Order: sequence, then structure tokens, then C-alpha cells
Amino acid sequence: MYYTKTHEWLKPIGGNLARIGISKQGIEELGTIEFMELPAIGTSIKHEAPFAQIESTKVSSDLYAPVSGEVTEVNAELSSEIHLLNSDPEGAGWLAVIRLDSLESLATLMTEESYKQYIAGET
Amino acid sequence: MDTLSASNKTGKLRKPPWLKIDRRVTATHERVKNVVKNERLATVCEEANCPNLHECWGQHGTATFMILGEVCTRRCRFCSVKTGLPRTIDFKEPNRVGSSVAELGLKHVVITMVDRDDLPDGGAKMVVETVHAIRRHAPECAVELLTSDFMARPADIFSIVDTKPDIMSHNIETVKRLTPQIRSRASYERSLRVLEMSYEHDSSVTTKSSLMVGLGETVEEVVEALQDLRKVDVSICNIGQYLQPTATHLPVQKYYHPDEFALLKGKAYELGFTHCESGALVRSSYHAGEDYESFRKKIHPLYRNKG
Ligand code: SF4
Repeated sequence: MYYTKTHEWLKPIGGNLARIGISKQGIEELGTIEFMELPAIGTSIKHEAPFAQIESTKVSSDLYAPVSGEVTEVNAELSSEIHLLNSDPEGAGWLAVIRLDSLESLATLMTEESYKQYIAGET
Repeated sequence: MDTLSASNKTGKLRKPPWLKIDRRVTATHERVKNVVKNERLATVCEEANCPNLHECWGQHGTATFMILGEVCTRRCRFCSVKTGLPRTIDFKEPNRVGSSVAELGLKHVVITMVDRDDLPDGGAKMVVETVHAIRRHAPECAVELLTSDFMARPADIFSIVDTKPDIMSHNIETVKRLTPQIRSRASYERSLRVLEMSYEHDSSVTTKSSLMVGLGETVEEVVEALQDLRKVDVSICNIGQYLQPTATHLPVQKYYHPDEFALLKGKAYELGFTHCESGALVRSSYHAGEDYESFRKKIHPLYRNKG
């Protein structure tokens, strides 16, 4: 599992495919999620650029793409079960599968260990 | 953008465009975070899940410190600060706050606190200690205090005012009618009384109060609240949109439009406030440093001449 500073996670699932989502810490900061707009299958997303919009009880904000690539799958279950984002953000609440433009881009992400340190302010 | 929309289909109000925040993290943000974590300080920015955190920490390099722990003895229905039985007092906290203010190079700091109804002095002594510590470590820094009501005990309030904070702030939070439903163990009159006591004790200390809108009040009621604040000589007021912290907190009744915030600001100036910030994301401590600068320019001709 890899993480970004803006609290997205990425998990390689074989080949150049990876599943992405919002981390537990991210959900904690965002609060209860009420709405979400995901990109359509086939959309190109760009490293650190907004790729989805999310609304919590408080505010709305963008999610930032952890890597560049193409959306090959989205979690359709979220359209009726948005609570999964709060109850299981790093599991059943995943957002999309991305075909990475380059595997090397994983090097720009934080490992689980460094993410933990980042959250604790030890960077 | 072609999108797949997901929603919980509960008929919740969608967010207006002016309530969108930028969550990107800057190096300045990380610097603030590291100081906060290393010094084991609590911030209301984090505890209240403030929507401005990325801007305040990331763009302005500032945070609002919350002293006396992160557990509050009251349970207001708009607030997401943890509530319960607080921990014992950390007597070294004032010093860590002071040194952190210096380390961050702040020119203006807002210090707030949880309610400590469990302590005989409500935590007043620790507030005083914290101001002293900031003055020691960062004598140039303006200090803005945002305190609880101390049940309007004169001794506690006077001891704090006697430290001569640059701003003494206490929030009425909402209009008179909604106070009992929204705030816990607080009263509208008592809050006004606290502000009045501060001013009567030392009128050279500027007083400030903030309130949230969107909880079901009418504009007339907001204006009435502003009038009440003016009656006790409050000179700065901030007005912001109430935002629901979690699903279990009070739902938002209305999102005010930026034009409506502008209207309220105009009203505030009409009523004689020297300074008013009014806007969706305005919080008591939002842009507090910049506002204080502009406030000082308005009241001190000499300061203005110095430019
Ligand atoms: S508005 Fe106040 S509480 Fe919110 S992030 Fe800024 S300093 Fe912190």
C-alpha cells in the first residue's frame, strides 16, 4: 500500500494496475461523506491533479490523483453504498482501478511506514 | 466532465461552490504540523476539523492553539471537540506554546481553550501563564485570546484581562433564541456579560465576538445579536457559515450566499463595529493576524502614518 500527502492510497494489484482510494486518516479529516463524483471509465488522470470531487457534511474538495494513468474501473457500489467510504475506506470503499502510465511513478508515493511518520509529524 | 455520481440519496443539501476547499499540502503546512506534533500541542484547527486548515497552516503558516487539553467539559451541538472528563493540567504547556509561537515566527497568535468547568478557576491561571510565556518567548507577537465564559466569575476574567491581550475574544456563537439548543451550559446573556466585564475592567483591551449563521436564525435575529454586542462595546465581530462537523451534529439549515454575508458585514459597520469579517469560511481565528493589522490601522492614526 502507498499513500499521498493528501491522503489518497494506492495498492498495486498486478501488472500495471492499481486500486486507489481515500485513507483512513483522510476520511477522519473529511468527516462523514455525503456525495462523491468519480471519473468515468477511460478518463485519463494526472499525477497530483484533481480527479474526483467529494462532499462531506462540512465542505467539498477534490481528490488528487496519486499517479498518472487511465481509469479502467470504478467502484459502482459506492453509488448506492456511499457509507462504505466511512466504514471501510481502505477496503470496500475503494474508488477506482487505474492503469498506471509508468510503474516508476510509485516511487513518488509514501510507503506505509513513511506515511505513518508523516501523519505523526516526524518528517 | 463525464462523471458517475454517487450519493447517499438522503436529500442532503449539496455544497455551494464557495464551500470547496483546497487540500493540497505545502512545505509551510508541514512545518506547522511538525512543530504542533513535536511540542504535543492541540490545535482547534485539527480538533474542530476546521475547513481552513490547509489555508491557515499551508499559506499563512499559522495555527490556533487550544490549551488545557483537548477534552471539553461542555457538549455544544455544533462543535466536534471531544467532550468528557479532561486530563490533569499540563503545567509545562504554556512554555511549549510560547516556544512554538517563537519557532513559527508568528506575528499574531490566537490562543483558545476547552471549557474546564472541572477546575475551580476554569483554567484562568493557565491562560494567564500562557500569555506570559508567549510574551517571554515572542515579545513582538500580538496575542488574541478566545476564552470560555468562566461562568462570568469576575476574578478569573479580570486576571486574564490584566495580562493585556491584544484582543480578548469570547464567542456568542449564535443568536439569542437558538442559544439554549446549540450551546451547552452557556447562556447568551452570560456571554455578553463576559464581554462587558472585560471592557469595563480595562477598556484599552479590544473585545471581539463571533457567531455562526445557518442554524435556523433569521437575519433580523443576527442583527439583534450584533446590536447586543455593540451595547457592551465589542468592536470586532466575525460572522461565518455553520458547517456540520459530522452526521451526528446539527444539520445546516441554510447556506448563506456571499452576497448575504456582505450584507451582514455592511450591517455590522453600520452598527459601529470597527472591524468585521463576514463570509462562509470565516471563523473566529480566520485571518486573525491580517484583520488585527487592518483594525489597528483603523483605530490608530499614528500607526496609520507609520504605514
Ligand atoms: S480558521 Fe482558525 S481554527 Fe480554522 S484553521 Fe484557521 S487558525 Fe485554525
